[in-house]
Amino acid sequence: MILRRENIMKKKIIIILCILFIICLCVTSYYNLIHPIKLVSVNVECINWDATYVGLEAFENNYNNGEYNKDKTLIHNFDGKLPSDNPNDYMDVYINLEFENRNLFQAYDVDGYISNFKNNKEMPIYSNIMSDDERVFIFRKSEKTGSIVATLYIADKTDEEVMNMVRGIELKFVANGDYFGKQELEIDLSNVDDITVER
Amino acid sequence: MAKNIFDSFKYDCTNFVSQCVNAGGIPMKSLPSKKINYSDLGDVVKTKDYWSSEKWHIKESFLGFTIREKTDFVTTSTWSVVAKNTSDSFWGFYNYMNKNGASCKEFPVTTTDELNKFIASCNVGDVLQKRENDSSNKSHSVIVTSKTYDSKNKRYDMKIAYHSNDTKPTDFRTVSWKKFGKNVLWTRINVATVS
Repeated sequence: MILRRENIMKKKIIIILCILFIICLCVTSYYNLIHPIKLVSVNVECINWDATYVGLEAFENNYNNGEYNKDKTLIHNFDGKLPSDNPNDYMDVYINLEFENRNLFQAYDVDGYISNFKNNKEMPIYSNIMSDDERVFIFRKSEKTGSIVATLYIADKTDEEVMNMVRGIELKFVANGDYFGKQELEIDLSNVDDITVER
Repeated sequence: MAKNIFDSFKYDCTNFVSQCVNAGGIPMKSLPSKKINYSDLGDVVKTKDYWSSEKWHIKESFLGFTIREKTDFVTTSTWSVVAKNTSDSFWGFYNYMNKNGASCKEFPVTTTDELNKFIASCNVGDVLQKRENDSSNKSHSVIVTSKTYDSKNKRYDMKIAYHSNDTKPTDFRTVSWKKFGKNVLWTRINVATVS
């Protein structure tokens, strides 16, 4: 009788250990293989400032000369001529992102871009790819910020309409690591509350 | 930049400007050999007193037998780190150059007037470092590669170069100003006065 009870206990312990092992394996796989990169925070600043139109004029000039950075610039609505000469008709959108690398073993290079505008599709002129200036390289178990900048033609659009356009933005990120290869992450900004408009 | 002559890093901006400043005539201040351990090979040495990135060879032996041997770069934090963060005990490029006679000044660059004053105060070879308005830590280094006077608009323009990505010299007024954003303060480090 006692021997049988010991055998049952032994089996229970083995089963519990197996379950714990499987849970550990699942958690480790989730963080290290399936979702090593997590987006921690997003805030969006929509600004019309002195650099907005100065930059746009230069972009128009560089575009027509073929001198803009084709690898790091996405053209959304632009045919070589700005739709207006009024500097107040434009706005820069800075999408500021903070990522966390949850992987225990390796660092990642993260790159991202705007993959779709669902609302007011005629507003965006061009946007840059995230690693335009500096590589967004996140060491294991640490955080790093990056930005994507889009330039809009807003003309008589209200702040609410600009915010509506921002909420329709979809972003795509690609994280490259040495051992586990490429990880992809897609997010949309529909639930982002931290959006400011300044003009 | 100079591949195989200097080390390269994932965060390469300050390593890049240090190479430019060194090529421009500011000599390295080498780490003495007694301060270099085997584990420092291929790593960054945290320091306040030296500014260098050099290849070292270390051979460790016992009773005439070689235990381990390696050749790799040893780079100082003052060469490869932007500036001392509030929590750091070691120095970065900014702190080392400032201590050794560089003329340093921080500028807000939000309006066109501020931009014009900032560009007018910069010279070719100056290192510029950016800091977000809401942070006390500097985060990026670039170097001024050219400065011209626009007589039509009566103002100066300048181009900057930087790493981590290979980037052609970029016009600060029309491209970089907007790209780096409104909430950025720029520190100009004039290394010509470094002794």
